[in-house]
Amino acid sequence: MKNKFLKTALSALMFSTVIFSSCKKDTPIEPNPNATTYEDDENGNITVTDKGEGTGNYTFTSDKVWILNGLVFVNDGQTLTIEPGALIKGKPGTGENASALIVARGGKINAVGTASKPIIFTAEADNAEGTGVGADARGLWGGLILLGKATTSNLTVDKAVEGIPTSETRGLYGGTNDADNSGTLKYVSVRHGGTDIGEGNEINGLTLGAVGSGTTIDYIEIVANNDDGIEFFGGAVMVKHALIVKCKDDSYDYDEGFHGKGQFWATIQAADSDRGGEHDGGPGDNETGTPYSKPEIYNATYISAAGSGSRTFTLRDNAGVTYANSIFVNFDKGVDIEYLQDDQANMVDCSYKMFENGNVHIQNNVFYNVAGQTDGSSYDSYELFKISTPKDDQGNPLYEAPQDKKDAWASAFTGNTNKISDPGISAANPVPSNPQTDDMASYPSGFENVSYKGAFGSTNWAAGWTLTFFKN
Amino acid sequence: MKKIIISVFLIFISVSFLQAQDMCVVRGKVTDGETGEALPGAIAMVDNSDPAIVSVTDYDGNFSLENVPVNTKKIIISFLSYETKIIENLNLPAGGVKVINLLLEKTDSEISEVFVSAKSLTNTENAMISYQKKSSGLVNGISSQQISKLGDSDAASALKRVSGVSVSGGKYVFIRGLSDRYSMVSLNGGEIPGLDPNKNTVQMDMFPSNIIDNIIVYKSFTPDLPASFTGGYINIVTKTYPEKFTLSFSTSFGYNTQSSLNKQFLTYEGGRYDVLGIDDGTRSIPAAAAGYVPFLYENNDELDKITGSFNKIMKTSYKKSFLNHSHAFSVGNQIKLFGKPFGFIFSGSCKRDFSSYDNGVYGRYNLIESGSAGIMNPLISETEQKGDEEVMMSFLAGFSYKINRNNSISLTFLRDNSGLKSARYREGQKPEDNLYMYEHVLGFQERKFLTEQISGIHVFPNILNLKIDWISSYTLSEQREPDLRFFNYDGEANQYSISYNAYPSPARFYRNLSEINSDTKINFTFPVKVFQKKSKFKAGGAYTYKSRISESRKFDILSQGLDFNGRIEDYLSDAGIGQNAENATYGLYVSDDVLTDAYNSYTASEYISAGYAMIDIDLLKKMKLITGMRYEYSYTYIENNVDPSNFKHVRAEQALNDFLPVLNLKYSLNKNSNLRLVYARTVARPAFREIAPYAYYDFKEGWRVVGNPELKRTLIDNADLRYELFGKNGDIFSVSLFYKYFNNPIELIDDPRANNAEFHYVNVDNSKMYGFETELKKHLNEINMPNFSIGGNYSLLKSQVKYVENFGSEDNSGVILQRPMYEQAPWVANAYLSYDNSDKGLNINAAFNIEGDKLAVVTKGATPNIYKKAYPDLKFNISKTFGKYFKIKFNVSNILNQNYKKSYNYKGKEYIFQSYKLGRTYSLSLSYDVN
Repeated sequence: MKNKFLKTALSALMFSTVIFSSCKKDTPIEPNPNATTYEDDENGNITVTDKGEGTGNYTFTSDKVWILNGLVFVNDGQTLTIEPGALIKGKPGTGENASALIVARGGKINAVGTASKPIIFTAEADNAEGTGVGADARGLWGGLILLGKATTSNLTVDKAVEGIPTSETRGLYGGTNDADNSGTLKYVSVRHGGTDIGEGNEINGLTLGAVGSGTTIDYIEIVANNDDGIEFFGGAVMVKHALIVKCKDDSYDYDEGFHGKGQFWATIQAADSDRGGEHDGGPGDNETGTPYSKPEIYNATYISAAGSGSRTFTLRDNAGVTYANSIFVNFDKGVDIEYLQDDQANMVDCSYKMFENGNVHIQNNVFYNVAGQTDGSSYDSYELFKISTPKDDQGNPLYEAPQDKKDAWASAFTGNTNKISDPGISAANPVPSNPQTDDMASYPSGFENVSYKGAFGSTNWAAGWTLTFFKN
Repeated sequence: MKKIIISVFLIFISVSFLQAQDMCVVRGKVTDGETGEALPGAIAMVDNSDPAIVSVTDYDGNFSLENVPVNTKKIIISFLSYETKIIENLNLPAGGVKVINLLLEKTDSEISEVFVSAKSLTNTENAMISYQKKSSGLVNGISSQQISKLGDSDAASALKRVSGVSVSGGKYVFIRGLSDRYSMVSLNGGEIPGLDPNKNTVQMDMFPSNIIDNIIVYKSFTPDLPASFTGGYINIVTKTYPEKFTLSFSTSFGYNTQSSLNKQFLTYEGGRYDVLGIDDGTRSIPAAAAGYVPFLYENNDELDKITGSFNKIMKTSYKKSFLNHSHAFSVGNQIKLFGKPFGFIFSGSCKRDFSSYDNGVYGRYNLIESGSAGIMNPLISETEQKGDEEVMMSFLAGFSYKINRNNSISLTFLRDNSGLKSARYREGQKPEDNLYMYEHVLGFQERKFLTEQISGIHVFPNILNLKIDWISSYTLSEQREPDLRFFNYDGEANQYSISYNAYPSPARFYRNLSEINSDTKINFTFPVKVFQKKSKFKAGGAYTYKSRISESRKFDILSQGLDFNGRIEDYLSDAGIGQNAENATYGLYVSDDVLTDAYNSYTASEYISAGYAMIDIDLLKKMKLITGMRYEYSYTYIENNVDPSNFKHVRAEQALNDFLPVLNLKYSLNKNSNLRLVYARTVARPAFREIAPYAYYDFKEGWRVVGNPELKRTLIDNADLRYELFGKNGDIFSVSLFYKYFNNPIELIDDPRANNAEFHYVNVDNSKMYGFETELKKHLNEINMPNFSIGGNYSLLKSQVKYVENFGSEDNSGVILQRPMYEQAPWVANAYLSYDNSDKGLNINAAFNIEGDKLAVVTKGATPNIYKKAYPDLKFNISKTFGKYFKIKFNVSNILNQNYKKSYNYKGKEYIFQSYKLGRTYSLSLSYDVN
């Protein structure tokens, strides 16, 4: 029998209450039923159960294993600090039992690992070395969710994160402060997550709901998630040095007016992964709302598994984007952009119109073996840059985009200094053996001014601290 | 035990033949022609009998003349200040029982004698109309005679014929367009449970026609009824013991053009007793999975064992179907037990129906709006096949014992069982994800229902002429839905996969609902004088208790990338379970979440205590005032099945006090017509689930619903104006106008902050509803079409819900909902034409029913709501008696065979949500009746 004891956030307070009230007569002590419990099994595991009051101002130390039992929130006003080298595990379970760490609006996470001491989030059955469960096992626990007060293009200011009912108000995101700060994630690896949190919604590896630009996210690995790698819902955050590996759905997904930044985004997909990028403008009920989804992404490296039928990325629902100085390889399908027209065949607001209005820039990138194109001197840019239109109930296009639109879009490939060239990268080694350094797009402010295309220059920044490149 | 029952049964039957062969018994009921109420104290006498054969009617107007010589010419019925009726052409049966029911009219003249022929005195439809006429509130009814004439097989389809009533999904009744929340159903006056975990509504298809004597729909509240109805209160009255020996058998076979004798009838491999509608355990949760199911990597050996314990059938298949058939029997008699009348009836029926289609279409759309342009974007576009096989059995036993002229006691037992095996298959495009999908759904539903009722009537002639009537009713009901299986996949030509990011993963779902109801009511009635006016005072009380347990469990069938070749049986085979090699990807496994299961399960109960007093005053010569008040105290309680030590355990309770006044004026314009004006206040309380303070996922509907413990009950002010004209032989014409004002009505609205469909129960400030109803029944003798009659009714309803919800902050407002009330038909029409020649034993009927488009699914966001389109339903039947006992009936139903259709409408164009045809059904039945 293990000698368990409860260490609640309020236990100290209660203890002092006992001492100070002991001189009074028979004052009953009512334990707070909503207090978060930290249950220590004395084998180094502390199980965290949040019953409504969040983690409190608390530190997950590196000497213990922290087990998330259900949804654990960092509530408004609280700061959760995670020490470098700390191991956090999610209990298995779906629906009501799904475990995840959620930083609510107004809460802060301070998870700053180092290349030698990364912070690891994984399944309960796993271990720090990543040998506890199958290397590709997905959906064994939830994921990491940050919710902030930045703007979105939702009709309502408040929006509930996927799978959490609106009655849990800590699951709401959205606000008016694009500079909002949800804390720092640095050298964090999130593994084997993506359990079904309810209604068939799997939790993404890292969900960023209305996260503001005051937040720092740098050096992140998401491995074998059952849904998307990173999904942005509005917000203005910048994510740097991200590696998404073998996730089930899309690697990078944004929607609801995401207008942040990204640099050094890498993905290595499995055969059953979906798109490299799924980029939506607004939510279904407000596709053309503002702020527009038009993040700036520089130095991406997206590697698919050839033959898997995956698309490089999709722009739809009025999404815009900047992709520059990036490398895309082995995608069976190219980039597609949505074109919409009214009954009189006049174009209406859509991603294509965003392109015409200068909100879509795909420039100075290198594609290789995308949509079957490997010859830099002779390639079919209509295959690389496609236009999608709505479908009828038989899956056939309701209408075709006009030829001049198709031409303009396809010619943007070459016109924007994109090219076909073999960078010499693979899933095993994403560092180019044939570095792509010419025709560089210049960097706007806020970006590192590097002289190479893709997420990696001559070294692999993921080496040593990620599960994927642990042995390097 | 069986032997004893059979011998008792035989004694009951044989006793009736113990009459001397030249004698007979004459029984009957005398009713006040003006009020329609039973006339106690009237005298029935055999003319010229010596010694006199006389019987005085009891409190219920019943008389019984024994040892009447069969050659008797006349029977005389008389009562002070009423006309005297002399009944001729008696045609008395030697050794049998003759039944005579009649009305006595009030008269001012000293002597008023009316001669009538016994032949014209047996019409239960007239009794229904006279009930309608005398009733203090507004009622409509349908008699067993009419149900059988129009060929309706159960209470649900019979109720469609009542003005202002519509039926949804073949079982849920809407009265004046108002849904489950605003209607109530009782059996012989005792409340019975609904079997839907999310609604408080009774499934009316559970009551086969052959146990029904009549159904009465109360459209206005009187204090002696429960106050929680606004649209209507339905009372199903089961058959009571007959006045004399009756015995009937019937058997019927039906051929449906689509479903019968069809080799391609969609079904699946089930259990041995599926033909009886009973699961043999095939669908039970396997013993290995009954307890805790470990998660992947928690205990893989145990998990593999559990995964392997489930049956491997998750795919639909075909078989050959049989004909629809049904069989019924009924026997009843009235005998002397210890010298007092004892009546009994036993009635049983069973039926098996096949229903299928392979012509279905299923589609889902969402509206993409961009500026002025909008496109209904197809999300799913599939063909649909379905096969339903239903077995239903019911048994009714009723006993009544008349202790003396002033006291009687009755007992009723009703047992119903039904089993529904259904299979559904869809395939088609999911354009959004560029997939071609296949969906198999296998379901089974067992419903059980057992009711026991005891009731009594006692009259105390010496104590104020007080009448006490009471009923105590106890019902056990259960609905089991074991192993509802879903298996979806996609792909084409040897390239198949299970894409569970695009649709739900394969799953098995188990749901059980059981409920206990007890309802006890007592009423005291006695005549009083108020302002020198003849009045009737009535007071009473009721105590109703119901308790419900709803349990559900769901297992997801998952794998970490196990190959799927398009064959479900291969995917589920034992070979795919678990991990075959070190470092290999994990194969098939099940996932179950005990906490989620417990969270979605609940226990709930409700108590209602009520008391009332009302008075019925003859205010003026032609004006009657009925007024009174009912008080109801209710206590409702719900908790989910999570262990109370877990913080996810939730409970909610609500206690309410309500005073509900009624003011009801009835003005008799003349002997045959009334003008009625009614005001009443009624209440609609939230259902169990609605006050549950947590969000639950409705797995079958695919959306989340959030309960609200702060939910207020709705108070409704009802006003009705009705003109009614009664003619001969049950002819009637009526016109009604009504208006209802809902104070804090409860509506389900979509929360725009949610990512997926999430509905909340909210109190809207108020909503209004008004409508018009008219009803006609007319015999066409006057235009020289004897034996012909026509009838029909039409209701027009209008309601609107309009609401803006803030959802916590002004920033989230702007949500406007403007629509009719859910499932409310804007109009309902019924018509029939009937030819009834009793001399030739020939009866021909055509009946038609249609209701306007009604809101079927409330969609999310700007996408148009889905409406159920009007469905014209035409039925025809012809029956002919052969000899004294046999009758043959031929019936054609669903003659027009139109599409059942639910659709979106956007910019004048229709987009199909679901559409299918069910085919025509021809049936032939033979019955044998002794009465």
